[in-house]
Amino acid sequence: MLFQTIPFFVFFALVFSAYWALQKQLVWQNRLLLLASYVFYGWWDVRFLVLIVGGTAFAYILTPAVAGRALPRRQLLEGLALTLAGALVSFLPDVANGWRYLAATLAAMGVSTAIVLGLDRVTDPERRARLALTIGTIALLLLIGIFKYFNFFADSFVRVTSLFGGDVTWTTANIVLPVGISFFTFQIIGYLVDVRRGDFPPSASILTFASFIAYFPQLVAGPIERASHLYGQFLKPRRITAEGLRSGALLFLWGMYKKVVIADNLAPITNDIFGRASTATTGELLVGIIAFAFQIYGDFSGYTDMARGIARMMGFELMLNFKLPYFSRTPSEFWTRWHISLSSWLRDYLYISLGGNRGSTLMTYRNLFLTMLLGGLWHGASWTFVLWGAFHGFILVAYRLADVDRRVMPTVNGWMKTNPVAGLAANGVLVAIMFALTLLGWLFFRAPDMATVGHYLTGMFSGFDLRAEDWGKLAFYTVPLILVQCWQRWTDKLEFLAESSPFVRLNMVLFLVFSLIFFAPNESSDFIYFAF
Amino acid sequence: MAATLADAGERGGGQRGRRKSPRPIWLRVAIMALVILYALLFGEMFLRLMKPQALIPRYVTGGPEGVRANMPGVEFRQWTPEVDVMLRYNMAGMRDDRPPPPLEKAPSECRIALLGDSYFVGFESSFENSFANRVEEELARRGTPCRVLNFAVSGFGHAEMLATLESRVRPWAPDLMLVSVHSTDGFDNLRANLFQPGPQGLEPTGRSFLPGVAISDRLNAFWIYRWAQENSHLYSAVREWAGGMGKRLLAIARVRAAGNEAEDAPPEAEETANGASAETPRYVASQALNQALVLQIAREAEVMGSRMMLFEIPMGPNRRFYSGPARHLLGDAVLGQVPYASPLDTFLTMRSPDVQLYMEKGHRHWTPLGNKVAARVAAQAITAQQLLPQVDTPSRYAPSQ
Repeated sequence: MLFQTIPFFVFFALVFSAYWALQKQLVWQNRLLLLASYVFYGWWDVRFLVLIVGGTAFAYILTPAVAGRALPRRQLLEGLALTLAGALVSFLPDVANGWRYLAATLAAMGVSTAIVLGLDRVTDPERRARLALTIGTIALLLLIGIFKYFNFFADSFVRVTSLFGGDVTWTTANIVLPVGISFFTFQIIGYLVDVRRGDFPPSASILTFASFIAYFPQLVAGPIERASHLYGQFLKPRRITAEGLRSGALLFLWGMYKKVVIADNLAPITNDIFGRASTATTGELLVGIIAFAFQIYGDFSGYTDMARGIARMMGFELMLNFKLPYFSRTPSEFWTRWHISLSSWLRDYLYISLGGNRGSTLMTYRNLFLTMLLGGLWHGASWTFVLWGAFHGFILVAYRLADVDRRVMPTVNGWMKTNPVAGLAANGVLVAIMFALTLLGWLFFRAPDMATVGHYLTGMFSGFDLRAEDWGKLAFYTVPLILVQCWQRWTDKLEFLAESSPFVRLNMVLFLVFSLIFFAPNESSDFIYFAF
Repeated sequence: MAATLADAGERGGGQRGRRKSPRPIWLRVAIMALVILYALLFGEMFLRLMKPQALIPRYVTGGPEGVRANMPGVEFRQWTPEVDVMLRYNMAGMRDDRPPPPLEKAPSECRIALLGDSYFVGFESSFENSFANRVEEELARRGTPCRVLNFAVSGFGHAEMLATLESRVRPWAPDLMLVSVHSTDGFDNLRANLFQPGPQGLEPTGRSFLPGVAISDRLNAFWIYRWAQENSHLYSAVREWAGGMGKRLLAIARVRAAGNEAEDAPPEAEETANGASAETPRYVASQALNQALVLQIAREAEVMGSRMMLFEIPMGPNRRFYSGPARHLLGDAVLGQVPYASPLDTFLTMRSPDVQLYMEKGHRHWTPLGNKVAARVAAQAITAQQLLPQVDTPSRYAPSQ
């Protein structure tokens, strides 16, 4: 159920009507949200509902131990009941094939119960907490590992062993990737770490906790929310206001424009050129990579804006995930503007856990590089994603080695005050260099395999034939976005639609609506990040 | 970042607290009307700048036979990003810049009646470049001068052609009837619901088929509507969308009424999707209707003392691909009985990225080159098959089953 499709509009209209009717009954509102979120998730494939339900229940019964406390039996029973209900809904419709998964779920429930009861026997609260967090993190990473990376590592293993004449094809399996698994597992891990660090109290309400994990606008592609930001919003009454409806609807409209008009129209250009990278001209390869840069931005930031708009209409506020990333001047700035919820998650839970910048300079570089490498791998089980992460790790380290953030940036910022022309020119050069590096990174990200990367790089730097059929189309779909983003940057108004004058807003809304009507492709495609 | 919701809510509460006097109702209505008017103007400008639409007014009305007819004596403009042409329907409703000839035919005079849809009308073409005029020129060049009387009406299928033969075509005593075969005919014949195959052959249903005519007749009384048809890109976009949707819904309704609830797609959709292998029961039934209609037209032509030739209008979605609908719509049996010609082979031999036979920014009618090539093929077939002048021959058409 994609946000921009009729089934979602019907779904949301029904959910929102009921939600509005329950305005004064917070508990019922949360129950409704949880039910709606599970319906939303199960819409893709009801069999995978058990994963999010089981992951949620496991974290819920583990939480007291992570906080160093004993597990209340009520909490254990609630967790088991939720998992059982999820398993029945997931597998009963096709019991002939699903019975073995149902049995596996029951076994997993037994193991989980044994673990948490075992943790209860650990008398030292500190040790219990450390153990619980380790077990919880490993279990959740195992969940991603099986569903997301098993094929990748098994295939790589088969390829390596075949080099030595071995045949281990029996290790491979065709495992389908459940949508949004990387997002909700990271949200759960973040919550457990927060509890362990004492930054957030352990949840004692399965309804609130499950609603926080499964909240449908951000369930399948983020933002990866923090408990400190979103959890509390389930605890207090939320007000549906005219202002919230208006600004939420405007944000949704802008997001839908970015997805449907920009990303979906650039996708065929990207697909075509990446599909024939070995024969394309330099100009076509340039068009392809620039088109992809705007496609993925329109796709992902469009999704986020729609998610935030939907949430805001219901009285929630989700975290900002994009902040004009292509205006970044350095890699570190880029990662404070692109997929902010993931980059800040990686910083808080991985980079800092690895030691951050508390050790030697060399260790800091290692931590930076490793964080980006794993961040790349988070996006998908492919060597191209690993290369993308390594590339970003490398340029982060290189900029840090050159001390650009501490020595160059203050000087450029100073010029903006004393000599704006020089300041603007210097900023322009920095932005252009960073954008070029970002494009190179997107090449690794988008290429289906390493051979395409090779063809692309060879083609890009082996000729000066800049002619391409699609320059005009690229400009047609990107120039309006670039103009709006320049305006956003200049006025420092990210939510330019809600904050502009009524007349400007009316014109922008009309432009977006007419664009959606007349430039929407016949078939809308899935969000790119649904695959991660 | 916008103010938080709580802040916003408080701001809203504050505004309520000041008890601003509400706007009078007339002012609210006036503001709403202004906003709507502005939105329409914005949409018009948006389309003109960003996505110009093809402005293809039809000017059809209801004829006495209960089917559509061209409005006699109108002159109108068709515009697309590729062409800007004037079309004139003479007082007999024929697309022709000249007045109609006298109804009484001189003994030595030769006449061809053109029966078809917008391709034969010559949409997106000037009269000089239209198929009808090109056929006339080609025949004159070949030494068989003949006046082409253009009875084509936009959207016509064989059912409507058959319904109008007696009243519109017969009085002009044509020597030859050139009948188009277009991919939309199957759909049009079905939704028109004018004839149904019965035990005694093709039977009229006694119904009329005037889709949207009553509305457009009423609207045509207003100058602003007539102006919008020829000048408004927004109107054109809405009209095309609504027309397409209406056609589709009507076809679905007809199919359901015929008891084919499970199959909603119009027949040519199956045909296009499945190619030659489309042999579903409904497809076969639709083909049977098409065949019966064409054979009936052929018999009527014979009764009138006229010859008939089918002329295929190929489909050209792009410059690399052309296909013909005649075999799918009518089958080899009918095409073997009735004189038939098609420019498809010629189009295929001309296939090249540099050769444009169809309009690409409008409604995909023939370009001047497409008309010229098609007309040359038609004229060649007419002379080669000696369809002019008329000769007396016994009936060659088997009765429909």
